[in-house]
Amino acid sequence: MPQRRFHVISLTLALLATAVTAAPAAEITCLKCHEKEQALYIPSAHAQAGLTCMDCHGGDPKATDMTAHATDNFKRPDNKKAIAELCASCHGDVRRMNPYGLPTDQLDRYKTSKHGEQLFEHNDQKVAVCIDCHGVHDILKVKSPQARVYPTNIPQTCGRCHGDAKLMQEYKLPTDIVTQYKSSYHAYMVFEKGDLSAPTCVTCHGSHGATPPGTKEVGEVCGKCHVRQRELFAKSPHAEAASAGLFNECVSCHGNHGIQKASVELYAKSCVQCHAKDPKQLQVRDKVAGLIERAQNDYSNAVTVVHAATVRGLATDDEQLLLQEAKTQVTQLEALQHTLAMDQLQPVAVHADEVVHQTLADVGKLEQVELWKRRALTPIWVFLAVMACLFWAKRRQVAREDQP
Amino acid sequence: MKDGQKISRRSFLDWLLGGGLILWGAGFLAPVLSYVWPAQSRGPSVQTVSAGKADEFAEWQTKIVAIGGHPVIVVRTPQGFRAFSAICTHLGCIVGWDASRHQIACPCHAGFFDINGRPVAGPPPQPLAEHGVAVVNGEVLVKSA
Repeated sequence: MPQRRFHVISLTLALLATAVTAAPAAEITCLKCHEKEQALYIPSAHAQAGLTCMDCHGGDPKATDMTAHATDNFKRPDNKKAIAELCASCHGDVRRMNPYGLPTDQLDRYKTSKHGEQLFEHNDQKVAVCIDCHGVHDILKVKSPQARVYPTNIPQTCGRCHGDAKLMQEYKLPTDIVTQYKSSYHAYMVFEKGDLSAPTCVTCHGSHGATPPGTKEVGEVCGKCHVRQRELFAKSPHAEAASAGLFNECVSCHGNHGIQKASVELYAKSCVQCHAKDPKQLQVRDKVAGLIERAQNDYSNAVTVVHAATVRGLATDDEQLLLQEAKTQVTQLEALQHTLAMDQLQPVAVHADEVVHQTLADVGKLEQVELWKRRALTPIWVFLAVMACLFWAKRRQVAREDQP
Repeated sequence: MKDGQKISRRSFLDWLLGGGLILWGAGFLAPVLSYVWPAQSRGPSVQTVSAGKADEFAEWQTKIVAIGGHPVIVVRTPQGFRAFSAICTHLGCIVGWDASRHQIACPCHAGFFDINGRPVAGPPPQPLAEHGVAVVNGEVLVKSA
C-alpha cells in the first residue's frame, strides 16, 4: 500500500513539473489580440520547433493589454534590414541551427545578392528580404509542398515581384521572365514530369545569394547540370569567341529563361544570327545538322520497324538491344555536336548508321523467316486436302465393294 | 462384323477416315493458334543468363550481357559480383565502366553511378536497377530482375 501511495505522489509531482515547464506557453496572452497570426503560425515550421511569439518579438507574455509591448526587449522590425538581422539572430547561430541541420550563412550570402546589396548598401526597402520569399508567421519547411520556396512554387514566389511591371520598371528589369520560364523545357520537366531536380529560378540564380549570372558565367551555371555539353563546347571554335566576350556560351544559341528542348531546327534559327553572311560557316552548319538529322531519322525509323515487328509477335529481343545501342550513339552525337568537329561526329554517326542497318537487316531476316513459315502452310494445307480426298475416294471404293 | 469380335473393313475405314479428318482439322488449327497466341505474352524466354565463368573475371572487370533485350552490366567487386541495368536513368544510353574511378559511367552526358548503382555525378535522376547474381558451379548467372 505505501508503495502504491508513493507511485501516486510521484505521478502527481511529474504532472506538476510538466505544468510548470509548459507554463510560459500557457501564459502567452498575445493570442488574445492576434488570433489571425495564431492561425497562420500553428502549422508553421517555427511552431513545430516549439518557438513562441516572444522568441522573435520579445515583450511581456504575462500582460493582458498593450503594455505587453512596453518592454525593452519588444521587437517589431519596421525596416527590412532589421528583419534580415532579426531572422539571422537565430539562423546565423550555429549552436541553435545545428539540431535542425540548417546552414547559418544565409545573411552573409544575402548581403552578396543583388537584393542584399540594394538593401544594405542603398537602404532600398522595396527589395526582397527573408519574409518576402518565406512568409512571416506562416513559414513552412522548404520540403513542404505548400512552402513558398518549394520547387514548384518558386516561379510564383519570384514572380510576385519580378512579374510586377510597376516595381520592375524602377529597376529597368523585364517582367516576362516568369512567363518565359513557364513556357520552357525546364518548367515542363518540373510541372509536367514532376522532376524536382529540374531547374527553377533559384537553381541558376541562387536563393539567398540570388544574383543574375554575368555574361561569362552563364556557361558555368548551365554547366553545373550539363557537364558533358560544356566540356565539349570548350573544344569548339566558339569557346574562344566566348572567352573574348563575343559569344554568350549557351545563351547565344539556346536562349535563357524560355529555353526549349534542343533540336536540329535550332541550327536554322541560331547560326544565322552571327553567320548570315558567312556561307563557309553555314556549310559547316549544314553538314553537322544533316549528320545529326539523318542519324535521328534513321534511328526513329528503326524504332518504328522494330516496334511493328514486336507487335506482329516476332521475338525482337536482340533487335531491341541493338536499338538501345543506336540510341546511345545518337544521344552521344547530340552532345558531341557542341564541338562542331566533324572528325569527332563522323565516327559516331557511322557507328550509329551501322547499328541501325544491322537492326533493320535482323528484322528483315525475322520477317523472311515469318514469310517462309506462312508459305510453308500452303503445301501443308494442300497435302491435308489431298489426304482428305483420298480418304473420301477410298471410302467410296470400299462402299462399292461392300455392295452385294 | 462377324461374331461381334472382328471389326469390319468398312468400320475400320470409317475409323481411319475419322482419325484422318481430326488430323486434317488439327493441321489447319495448329498454325492458326500459333499465330493467334502472342509471342510477347509468353514473357522472355530466358530468366537467367550466364555472364561467363567466374574465374574469367578479374577484380573490377565488367561485362555487358543481354537479358530479354535489355543490357545488364556485371561487375566483379572485391566483395563479389554485382549486376545492374546498363540503361542510364537519364536518357537511356547504355552505360560503361570507368576503370579509373571504379564507377559506372554514361558516355552520353557524363553521368556516374557508384558500385551500388546510385547516381553520384551528372544528370541521372534515379539509381540503376539491380539484378540478382549467383555463382553456380563456377558460372556467373544473372537474373532477369
